[in-house]
Amino acid sequence: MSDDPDDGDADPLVLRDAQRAIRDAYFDHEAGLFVLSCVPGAGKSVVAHHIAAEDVLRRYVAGDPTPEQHVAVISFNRDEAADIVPKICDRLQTIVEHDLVPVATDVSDAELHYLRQRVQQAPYVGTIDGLLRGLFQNVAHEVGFDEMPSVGNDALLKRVHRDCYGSLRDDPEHDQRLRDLEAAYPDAEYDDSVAEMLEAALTYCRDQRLSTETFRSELVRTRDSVYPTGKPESFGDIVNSVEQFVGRSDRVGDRVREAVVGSDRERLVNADRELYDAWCDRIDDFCAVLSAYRSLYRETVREYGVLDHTDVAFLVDAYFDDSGERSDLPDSFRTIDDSHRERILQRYRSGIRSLIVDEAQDVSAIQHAALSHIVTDESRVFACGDVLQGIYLWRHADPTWFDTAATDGTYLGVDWDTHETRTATTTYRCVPDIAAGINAIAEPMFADSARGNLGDLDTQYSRLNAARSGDSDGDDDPAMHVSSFTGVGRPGSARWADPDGAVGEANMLATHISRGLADGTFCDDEGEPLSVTVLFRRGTRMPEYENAFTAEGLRVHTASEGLFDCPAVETVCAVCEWLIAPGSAQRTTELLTDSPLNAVSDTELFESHSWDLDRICDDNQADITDDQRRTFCGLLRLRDRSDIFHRQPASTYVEEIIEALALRSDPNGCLSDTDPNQRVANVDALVETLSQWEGDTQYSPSALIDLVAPFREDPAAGPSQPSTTGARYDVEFRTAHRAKGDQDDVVVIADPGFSNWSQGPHTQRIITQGSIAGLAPPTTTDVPSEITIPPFDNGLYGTEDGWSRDAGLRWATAHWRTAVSESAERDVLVGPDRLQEVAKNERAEVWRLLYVALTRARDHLVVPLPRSDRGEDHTRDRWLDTLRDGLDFRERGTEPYELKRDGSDPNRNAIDIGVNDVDLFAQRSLPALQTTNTDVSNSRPQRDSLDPWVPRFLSPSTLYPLTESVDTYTLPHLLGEPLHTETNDVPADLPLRFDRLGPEEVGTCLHTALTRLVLRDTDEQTLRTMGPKVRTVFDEAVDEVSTRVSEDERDGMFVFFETVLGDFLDSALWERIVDPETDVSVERPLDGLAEINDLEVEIHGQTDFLIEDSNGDRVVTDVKISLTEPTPETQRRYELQIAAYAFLAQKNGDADSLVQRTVETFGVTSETTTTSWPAEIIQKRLQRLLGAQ
Amino acid sequence: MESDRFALSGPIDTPETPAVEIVSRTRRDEARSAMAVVAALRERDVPIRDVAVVVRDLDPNEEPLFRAALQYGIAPVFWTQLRVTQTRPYALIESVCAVLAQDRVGRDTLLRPLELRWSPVDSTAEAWPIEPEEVHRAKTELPASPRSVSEWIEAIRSTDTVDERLRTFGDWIDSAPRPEPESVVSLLDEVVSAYAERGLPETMAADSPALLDTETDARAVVRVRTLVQQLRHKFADRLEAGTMERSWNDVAELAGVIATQRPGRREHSNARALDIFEANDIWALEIPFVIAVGMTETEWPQPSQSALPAAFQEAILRGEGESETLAPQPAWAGGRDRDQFVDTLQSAGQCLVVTRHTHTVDGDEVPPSPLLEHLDTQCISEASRRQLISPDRALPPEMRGFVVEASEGNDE
Repeated sequence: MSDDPDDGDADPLVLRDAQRAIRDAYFDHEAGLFVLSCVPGAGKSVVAHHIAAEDVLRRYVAGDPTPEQHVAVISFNRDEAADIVPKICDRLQTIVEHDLVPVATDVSDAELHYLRQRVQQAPYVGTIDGLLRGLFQNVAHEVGFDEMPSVGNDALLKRVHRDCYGSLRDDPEHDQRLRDLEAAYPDAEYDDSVAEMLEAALTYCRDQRLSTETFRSELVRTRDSVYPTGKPESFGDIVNSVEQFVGRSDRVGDRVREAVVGSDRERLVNADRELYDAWCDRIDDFCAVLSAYRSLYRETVREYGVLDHTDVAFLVDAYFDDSGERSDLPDSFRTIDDSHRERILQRYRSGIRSLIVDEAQDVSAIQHAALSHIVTDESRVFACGDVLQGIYLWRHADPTWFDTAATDGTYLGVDWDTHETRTATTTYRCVPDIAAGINAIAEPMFADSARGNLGDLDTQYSRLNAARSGDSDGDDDPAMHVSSFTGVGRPGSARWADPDGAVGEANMLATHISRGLADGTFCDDEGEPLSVTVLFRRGTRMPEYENAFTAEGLRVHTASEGLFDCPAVETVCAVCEWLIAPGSAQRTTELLTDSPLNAVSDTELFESHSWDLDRICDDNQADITDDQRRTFCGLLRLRDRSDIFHRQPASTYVEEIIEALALRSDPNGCLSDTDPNQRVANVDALVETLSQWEGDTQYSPSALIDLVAPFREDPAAGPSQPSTTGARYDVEFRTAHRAKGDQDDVVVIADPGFSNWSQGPHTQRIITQGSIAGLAPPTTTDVPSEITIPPFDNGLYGTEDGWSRDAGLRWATAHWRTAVSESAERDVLVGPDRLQEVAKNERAEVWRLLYVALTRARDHLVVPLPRSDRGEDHTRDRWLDTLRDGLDFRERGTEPYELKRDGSDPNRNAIDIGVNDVDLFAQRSLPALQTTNTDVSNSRPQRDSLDPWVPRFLSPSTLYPLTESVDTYTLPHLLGEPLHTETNDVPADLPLRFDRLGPEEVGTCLHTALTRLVLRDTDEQTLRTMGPKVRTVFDEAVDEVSTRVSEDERDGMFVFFETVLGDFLDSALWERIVDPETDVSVERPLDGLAEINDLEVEIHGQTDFLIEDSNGDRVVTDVKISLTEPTPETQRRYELQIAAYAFLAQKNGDADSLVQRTVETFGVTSETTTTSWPAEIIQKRLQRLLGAQ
Repeated sequence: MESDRFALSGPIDTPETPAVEIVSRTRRDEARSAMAVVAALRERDVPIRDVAVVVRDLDPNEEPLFRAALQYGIAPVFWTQLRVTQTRPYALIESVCAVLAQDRVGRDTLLRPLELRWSPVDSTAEAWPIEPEEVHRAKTELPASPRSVSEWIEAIRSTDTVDERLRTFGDWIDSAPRPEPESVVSLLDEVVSAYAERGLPETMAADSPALLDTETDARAVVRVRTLVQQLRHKFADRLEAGTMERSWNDVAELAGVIATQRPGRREHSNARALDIFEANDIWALEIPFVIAVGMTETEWPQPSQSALPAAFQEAILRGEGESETLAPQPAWAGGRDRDQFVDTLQSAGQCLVVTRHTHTVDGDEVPPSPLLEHLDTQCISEASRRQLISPDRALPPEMRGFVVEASEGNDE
């Protein structure tokens, strides 16, 4: 069995060994805890998916029609979580089709299909965050939210924090404390600001469920461990502290006494006392401010309707915690409705019978606590993971929970009666050589109490045992490679990576990979290049590496660049900022000169026009380039449309900006430093991201600028640029953290020479790790920096020197004790116990990260190692030395060699290590990669060249004016208004006042009244006498238009209506209506479709009267109420209208000859119009709509 | 096991119309692939009415499809109700209410109606609406702090460089009536009519020949006119019920409530535009080329939103015991989305194109729709797709045969 789809064939995947054993144990019990500890690539997710699928199947066969409701499957990783449902469905199918388990034979194909559909609706499958979010949805209202908040909207959360901090600044009660804190912890590039420290403290308190008071006591404990004798009274206290932190042997105290003499001792003690006091004060300040900050945060997240994932877990846990012992919770949690709480809990507990947790080592304390509420000792829990892959300590993942589950059988708040643990050591990912190579490196590393085994976690190493066969092509090509180079400068430095005039680490790796792709070393059996990932611990050296790889002709994709660190996105932001006040010359200047638009180099012309784009475009057409003109026109267009932007979602008007400036295709080349497809992907991602952030809210340009300000300032804090389609690059650069859960054919470990102590607690202002919290001493006290206190580089206290291993006596250090005292153990650090513990855990995680990086490789693993040997032992401090020792590369050169394993490895007794094992003269024929040249990255949107509008719906009455002059009548047509053609004046002697109603409305009223009287079978006598029935119908028609017509106006209309009715009763139409042999339809719809070229135009008519006689002959009549003498144009309009009816009649299958068509006009003029125009004229008239196109 | 309930979830009887599948990476890539197909079909003289795009839910897809259509020179129309609150005519009446609602008005609030092309109902010799550059100039020249309308009139008078027409607006605001049901309608109706007369032509003048913005603006005018008329009765009712006060703030709030109910005309006026439907509008239509967009697990079908427990739904679906008399909701078994999928399949006469994307913007994988399992599709190769979306666009070879047949069919 393998987790690699490429290895699949016709045979179904079958669980083996530990996989099989844990599955058997799981199904042998109705309840219990079942733990699978796995090495990388051991298929733990496959086991999880199998167990889920089989569990669903068994429940179904046992009679549960909705088994998916009872099996929860969760993972930490979002990408993997998205895969769970399809994977369970596939596994269900495989199990049934291949009868892999006994119950498989009990379901039919239809039932299998049904089950798959049910799984697709499974409510508890996805990320842990997703499950908790669902749970929270039930209690959101109870914990003070009007509706379900958005979760994980980073932009809005940044704003919440900023607002909270701003409110604190404005509060006189906290203003002084904040100012003192800001002075004590001033802004610096690599240090947390006070705002960031508060944010970190808040998250930590929530993660650890701490009240501010408890948090405070943790800070005090840390301070006390730094001052083990309390506030120093004498120089002896300082010496005593040094001896405690360094060890009492080897004259440690004497050396301090020798270094500090005379009055310096008193100065030092005084400074230390001052530092102590200031530290106490700042802890007080910080906690007082934090308490207020927490309250503000509580209110603000409710106001904005937003939470982060930790908040959700925290609130779920807080809501369901009925212990009444939580001092960290506000009073509102003590008054919640117990019955509601019980009901929800009951629903979840009785619903989720099985809980399957993948990547269990990544679960945080608060997630664990929240999940605990829905699990009882009657549940069945399967957890799989790998403690050695726990690399998220920095974001509060805590592998201890999983470790304890595996070793002690306690998990999710239950001490399980039934608990089974298995360890799967077979890896299905890498070839045997790589497995053996990793074992050679990792086994001593994890056994070493100064490296992998330095922290709290039990890191007992299980050797990888590769299931894949090696050498699939039958040759002996190595899978483990070393890029060997001389080594210039300090390992980890820019010079080391890419020295001037020499071959550095990055250069050699680039050559190795480039030539290896060319000569087939890193190609598959068909000679196709393998996929290559270069993994970094940190981003610091990526630029040097990128230069080196690019110089070798390799196309590099860096996966972790910030979305807001891209010219197209920067341009969008700059334009939004301009749109806040586009009339401002200053803003226009900034936009045109400072943004990536870079539209102006020579500013003279623009200054002379006060940066007024309208004037510049109007007056100086010749003095600006075509590119500039296009840009300025785009900006002016945006300005003119920006009036509506505050009503539209940002994602919509940002698309307007992108379109107006053609940012996807970039015809002006102002964004040319980005790959075109990456540019398109970035712009797409920006719009999608904004859309996600907005939800139901909308951000005006100014609000948007406000929202994204933190990401513009620090793009790394915001979303990343997306990965683009297709293999458009040879090599991908990623951080090892982001590669977790992934794999690649060729993996390169980059920049292993960094010092792993460089980012320890001695560089941090706030420490929030596990049970330990600490606030660094303030930097504002007067510390005599010239007085040294051996072995502390920074004396009493100092944080100026970023390259030092310590921040002085009174904070953390990265010194090994062996560097001070030869007799010390090699795994002990200098410093107070609590801070040492933090440093150890951080260091241990760096080694686990190396293990994760190494185990991403499938076919080839490449590490860069220097041939130079400086003699010093840095094995504890650098990946480089551990790799070199593990591969026994020390003192070797450029020749391949054999790494002996002496029978201790399950894969190989010896491994061939290739050293620079490529043909250095091999040339790659470029372009070997597929590149995607897309329309969208090349061409502007074509809005302005779209074919002109052509009306799609017409009526017989509007045919004439629209086809006569489409431009004139387009707007009234779109507004559904009557299309007025030229008419004569209304005669002055008519009894019509037109006070309230115009001629058009009067005509409509009278027309309605007339047809309605016919509909109601009104007899001639009633009509002629204008009796009450006529008046009632007339009034109805008037009221439908306006109820506020005065009596005089109404009466005048009624008088005129009498004339109309008189004409009507004298007409041939009336004769036909009253003829007992005819069948009369009033207001009859008549529709049809006309085609002009390849366009279709729908004509929808409604004839006033359709009268059919006993012979089947029909007359179509339209009635017009005339208030004026008809013009020749009116006549033509009527004729075309009638022709249209003929056309429609034809379209409806009626023979033209049998339908007579007339327009009857009553009122000022009384006449009957018949047409001489054939029906075909409609087609010709419609053709006019296409005009000269 | 009972099999009745499988009727809603069993295999779909697929029509014989050939189906091809296009797989793109992101939602926007997918939208562009879909529109590139339309463009390629048009280049082969397939009439625009012979092509339609169908999605399960327009909300997440409208914007990507709209932009993709413009990229490929296609005017799209979306058969969904107008989002009137996002239109200029609506924003205009709302901004007028905002000015009238406050005793002291900020500069931006004061100028907002003018930005949105307010003009007096009886236009004098002056040209209206005020040009955008003049409004923005006024923004830089007038004081920012809030003041009363009369103070604003004075401020405008005393600022020489500000356009004279601002005074007309100030006077109009100053003479506005108290908000009574009749006066509200009268005043807002005036505003909308003036917009239709002088604001809308500005949209048309700046618009592309396909009149995409003009059409939307005109639909909005029609809708806002109706909305204003509805305001009269609803405002009177609320005043009578005591749930609202005679304030322009309440008028604006009420207008918002009415507007977001989203009825209104859906028909579209351009004979040259591509129809883009939601799947519930596709039934009974017959269109040679149908492009079904968004065939992903989370979009089509959409997860059931029913509040009833799944086990209860299932019991009714099974019709066992007393639940036999209860009617199941098709949506419980994905039935409605499934039916609409079947409608979509059946509406395609010549060729069905199904498209989907594989990743979210965050890089998470997006699995395909399970409904696709019922369909035997020919997947367009990546090389064909690249060619399709390249500047040298070509209809994928997998589809070419259908177009030739279509032309032949037409010739006959």
